[in-house]
Amino acid sequence: MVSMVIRRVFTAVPLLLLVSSLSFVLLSLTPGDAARQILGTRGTPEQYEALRQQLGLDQPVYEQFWHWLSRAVTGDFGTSIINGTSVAGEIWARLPVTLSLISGAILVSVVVGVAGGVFSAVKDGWLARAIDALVLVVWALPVFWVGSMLVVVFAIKLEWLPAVGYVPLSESPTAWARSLALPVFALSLGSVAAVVKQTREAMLDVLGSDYIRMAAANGIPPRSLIFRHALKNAAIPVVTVVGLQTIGLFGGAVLIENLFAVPGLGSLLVTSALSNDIPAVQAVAVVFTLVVIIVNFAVDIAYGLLNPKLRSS
Amino acid sequence: MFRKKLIASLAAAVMALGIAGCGGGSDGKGGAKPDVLRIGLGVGPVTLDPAKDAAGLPNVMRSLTNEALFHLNADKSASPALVSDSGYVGKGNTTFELTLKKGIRFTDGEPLNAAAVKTWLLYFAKAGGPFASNLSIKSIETQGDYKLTLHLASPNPIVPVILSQYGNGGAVSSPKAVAHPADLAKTTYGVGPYVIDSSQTVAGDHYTLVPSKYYYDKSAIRFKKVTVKVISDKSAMLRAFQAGQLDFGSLDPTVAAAAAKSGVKVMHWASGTVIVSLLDSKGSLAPALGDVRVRQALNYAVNRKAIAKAMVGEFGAPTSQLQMSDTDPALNDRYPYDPQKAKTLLAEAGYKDGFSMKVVDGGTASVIGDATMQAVAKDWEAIGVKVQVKAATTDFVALALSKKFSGIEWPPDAVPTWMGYSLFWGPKASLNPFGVVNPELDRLFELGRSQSGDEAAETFAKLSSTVTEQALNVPIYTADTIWGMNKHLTGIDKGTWMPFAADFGWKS
Repeated sequence: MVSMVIRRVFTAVPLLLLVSSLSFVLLSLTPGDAARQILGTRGTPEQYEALRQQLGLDQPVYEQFWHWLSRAVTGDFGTSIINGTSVAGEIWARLPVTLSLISGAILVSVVVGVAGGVFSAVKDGWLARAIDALVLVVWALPVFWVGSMLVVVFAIKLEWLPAVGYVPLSESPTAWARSLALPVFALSLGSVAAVVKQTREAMLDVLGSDYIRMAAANGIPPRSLIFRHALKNAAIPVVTVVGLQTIGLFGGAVLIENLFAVPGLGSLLVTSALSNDIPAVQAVAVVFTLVVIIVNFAVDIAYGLLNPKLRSS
Repeated sequence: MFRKKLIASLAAAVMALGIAGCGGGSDGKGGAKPDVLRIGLGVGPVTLDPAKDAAGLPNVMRSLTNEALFHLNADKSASPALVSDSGYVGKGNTTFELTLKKGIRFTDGEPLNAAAVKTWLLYFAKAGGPFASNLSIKSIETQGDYKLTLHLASPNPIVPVILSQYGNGGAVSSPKAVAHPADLAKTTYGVGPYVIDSSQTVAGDHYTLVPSKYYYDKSAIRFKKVTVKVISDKSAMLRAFQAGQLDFGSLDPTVAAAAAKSGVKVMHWASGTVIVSLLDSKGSLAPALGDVRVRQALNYAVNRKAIAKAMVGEFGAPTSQLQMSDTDPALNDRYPYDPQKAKTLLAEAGYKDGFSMKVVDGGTASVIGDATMQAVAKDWEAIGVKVQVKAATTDFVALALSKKFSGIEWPPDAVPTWMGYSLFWGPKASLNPFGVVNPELDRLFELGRSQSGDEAAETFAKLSSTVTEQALNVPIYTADTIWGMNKHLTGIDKGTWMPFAADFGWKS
């Protein structure tokens, strides 16, 4: 376990460096810059040059990157070149929002997805086939359409939930839950479908294996057979899918946060990228990369817990 | 047993959410005056520092936190706000005096005095914001605590407009904050009925405003709190209105009709013009554009009525001229749709078979920009002019100034004509990448900026009509600013450049 952690940390460093340098270079290559965004159509050429100099944008890209990197390794992400606010402060303010959204979506995906997959695999008949077909339909639905329809029904027609916005947990737990309900549901729908599908396939595979038949012949009750013996073995591919879905949910969060006007990291990434705010984009890219590393690490640990053979190797 | 408990807990949670949903806060649909005014804006401030921020939608919020020295009225005139007395000294519009009202404090408790205004104006000019060059100040003298004299490096007939909420120049902030500009980015330090509560604010997403304890007119504080939510997705803005989550907010032509249909009160008035600016009017890239007959032909070729109806419907109107403060309404139909006349003019100029040019389409700036440019390109193609359209995103300004495109399609605001010259046609104008020199416009500008009153208005009206006659643009339609609001909301002055939220009230 210790060696695995050390290995992960060592692979994380070059990965973070690669992602941050790539995003820096790509953003620098984008036509226009932060000085243009600030001045819009009104700045004279002299004003524009002066502002570029003031913001350090007249320096070569490698120098700008080195300047950013040398501060970032100490945990100092600097200030936004657009609005002058602390980037770390922005990240800390928005991270809980995105984590709430993602955690909720994972929870829904795992609970509903595994339950649906097991049910569909165990119960043969029209209901199981209907779930299987429904999964394919849900998978094909565009997230923004689902989100819009949910708002029309639950916010506008029924007036149960808010259409946009986010309320912090510290302000009101109920309002927090209400503000997250629709975004979480819209975000998790695709993941639920993926988990149902994977769970069903894995369960069918395991339930058809010799040792399950043997266990059934030995009189082990069906419930124990399914949940204690079959599901544990079927869980490894499901964990892989959940891990991949978790990473994918961060991508989906960018869209959902915009759709529901939720102040998370996704919306920060969009606004920062549109205004060429390099420090802010870099910080979000680092956070998202760290998330990918942590999720992969968690998946590795889960593998070990589910399969003793992997643990020992 | 466990399963029953689980089901019961889930049912309770769902009921709690539902009940909370039914009973939660003001839905904005009732008539009773709410404690919180909820505003939605399609674009938030770039920064809270007025000296570095752009204008436009964020000025709705800024009017609550930073009262300006002068107030810009619906008729585009400016009247004193934090100023008791003001005026030009002598002739030539190079010296301007103003006396401040007494007993006024910034939101940090510092007094508004001549020294504070001087500090602010000098900071504003050097801060590097988009409006920094509006007022070229040579020096500022203070006489006593409340009187200032501005000495300008060049004549300027619209100092009160520049020191109004338009362009942020008048949004004076506390000298203590100006001494530490980083503080100006975190919260507001103006003279205003409200101040931003940074603990309840996430920059770029939502802003919470609470009453300022130092504001001189307590009766202007009509709400215990004002929230400003940035909702960039137009459909999300519409849904927020329909769900009763907003009292006031910006809309656009694509959702305004749906908002009105669902019971939202919609107000709109002309605020700008969707145009194709012919930047290359001396013909550096496309020589044909150097001939005024060709530029006029491009104007006659556009079926403005059809395009305006299809793109903006009731939220705009076809026009042949760029709307500025001194435009003559009689010229709105200067170039009626006449493809035959367009062909004749092209032939007279020696371009019977047409020509080619490249245009940047700033579609992101105007929601319906892409479709508008395509429609214009189709009309031009009918007279033999082939247009290669480059759709811009965030690189619009960079492309516009790259000298690789003869024109740009975009929706400029109806600026004061004086400012229009400085933006578009002056030799050093920010949107004059080809360095086009136009002696007639230069002459009128030089004349007008030293004049005052009706005389200046007449000269600038002449400048505006010359722009139209020389066909330096192909204007298409006026673009309205569109606002949705709770029917109980009062104080919206239709026709203003931007709604002044500090005037908002509530009528049950």
